[in-house]
Amino acid sequence: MRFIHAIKPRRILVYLLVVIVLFWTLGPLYFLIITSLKEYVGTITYPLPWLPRPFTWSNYSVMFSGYSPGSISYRFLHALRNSIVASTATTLINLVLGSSAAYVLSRAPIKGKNAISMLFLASNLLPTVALIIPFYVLTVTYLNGLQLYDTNTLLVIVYTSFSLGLVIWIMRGYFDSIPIELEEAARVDGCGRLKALVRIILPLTAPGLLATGLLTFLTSWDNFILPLVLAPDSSGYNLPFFIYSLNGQYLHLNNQIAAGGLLSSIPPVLIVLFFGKYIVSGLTAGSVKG
Amino acid sequence: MSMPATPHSGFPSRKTPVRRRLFLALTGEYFWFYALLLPSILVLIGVILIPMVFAFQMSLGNTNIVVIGGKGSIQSQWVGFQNYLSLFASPLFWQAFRETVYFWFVSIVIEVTLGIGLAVLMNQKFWGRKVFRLIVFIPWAIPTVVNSMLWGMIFDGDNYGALNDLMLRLHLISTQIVWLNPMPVLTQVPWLSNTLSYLGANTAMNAIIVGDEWKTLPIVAVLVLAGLQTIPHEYYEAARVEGASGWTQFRRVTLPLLGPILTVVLILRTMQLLRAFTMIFNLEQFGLPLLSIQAYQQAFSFGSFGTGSAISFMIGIIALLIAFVYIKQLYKGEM
Repeated sequence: MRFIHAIKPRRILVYLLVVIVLFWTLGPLYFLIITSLKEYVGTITYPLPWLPRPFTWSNYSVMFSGYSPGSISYRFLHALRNSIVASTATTLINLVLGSSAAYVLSRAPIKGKNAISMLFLASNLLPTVALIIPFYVLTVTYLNGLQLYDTNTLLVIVYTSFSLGLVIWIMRGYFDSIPIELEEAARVDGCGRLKALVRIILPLTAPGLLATGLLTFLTSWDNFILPLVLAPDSSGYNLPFFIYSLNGQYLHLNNQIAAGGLLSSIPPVLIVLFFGKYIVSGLTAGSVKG
Repeated sequence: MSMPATPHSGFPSRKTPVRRRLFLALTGEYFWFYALLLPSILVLIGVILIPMVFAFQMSLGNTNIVVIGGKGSIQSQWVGFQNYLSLFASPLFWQAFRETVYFWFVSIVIEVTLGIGLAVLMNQKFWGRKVFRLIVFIPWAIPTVVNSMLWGMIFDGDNYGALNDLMLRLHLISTQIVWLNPMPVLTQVPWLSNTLSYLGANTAMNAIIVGDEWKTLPIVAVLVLAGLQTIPHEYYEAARVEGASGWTQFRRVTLPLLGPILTVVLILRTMQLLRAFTMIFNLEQFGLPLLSIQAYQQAFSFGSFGTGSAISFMIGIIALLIAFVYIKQLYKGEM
């Protein structure tokens, strides 16, 4: 009895804090959801309705109302397609290039491979803002012949360069943790190096591949400054840029912004809910082991 | 770090002639090593190193870019370090610098204190803990632009802004506050208010920090939680046997063992705060001239690519210095 008595105030405190954190986390989300279900007038009246009133689904349905050029639905679907294509392509390229390089940096007796790993890591830590101006200038001047400005291809190239360092860094840790004997055994049995890598080693690093792949996907999905500078006009823009462009100079259609924003949050939220565990273990494995 | 002894020692040594080494690299046992590493090296050189050098080159001139019909040409007049010197002489640059430092410092303090607090809370035993951990993680997944727009609605300066509406209903304020206006804080105490303004504090900045923390606190807390879970339970039992109170346990056992992961979190977050652009640009355009915003504005609104490059090159150098500290910390045992 004394034990329970001593523990009680502490438990009350824990539950109190849990409730506060839930309010802080879910309050803004609740507000975003009800705003997306309001008619415009419901977002600019005082007192503000804290239930979706006047209620409407139209902010969502307008995003899927056909593909006629210039309409909001066209721009949404186009941005959605661009986001899916660019993020998926970046993820795949990064996994192939990054795990190849990480494998070499983990296994090969090359002089200076630690220095190379550090260079990759440093490249990942470089802010986008520091490189955005030279990217833009190179694209429109010297590389103008390649016609890359305002294309998805350019975004994929640039996203890749920004997350490749992270992939190599995390994957190298995973390769290091796999005993080299396993590979040697396979090679004694007649596997080539590449075959041993693909058949024996890669399956063992699956959690790492999953974590780095999802991280890459999330960062490319989230990117705003690169499309803002490199693909703002007509064809290359992605979902964040689309949402930014909904915010007009005179009219803030908050209900539409909220609906578009929630739609574009669905993939990353699902990823975090289902695979958050892998992402965290990838990040901590990479950051602690190095 | 010493290399593991390789079973196949046909690898060329330094004494092997260059042509022979090249031959071995292309044909021998190690072909795949080079083939697999090369693409990433090319990406590193082509998309990171060359642009960085190019930014430095542009920053040494009065650089203009003229784009006509999709075709750009570059005009640059060499001025040496003039761009840097005039930046260092400009009060606006130093204001931007202080604001950047303020943004970084306040965010880091919030993340360390509340981040650890939240992680400790998530580590307690209570009903619904699993679901709670999932819910707490959600804001991190919301795209930054969406987060910016959301907090723009909350901090809206009209009386239908969510925060104004709540505070008006609760009679905490009598008229609406334009939260996203960069107004001085704590005006009741003039000297304190002036000092804080000098250091970069204003209502808009603080509002943006709050909105930014809504998205970033979860990842800090979840990473710290992962660190907490690696601390063996026996340590706490031993401490309890010795009669240590909860707070002493936290200070003497938890904090020291969290050291490595806290360093990592701190430095990673510092890097991310240096690149903070999206939220400020979405909510303030050029109203809060942090360094990243200034670099963008100089180049893309004013067209002075020389000054813009100078600022962004400096951001890059600061980031690389921090990265160097970070990497040294990581490889401490091996170097």
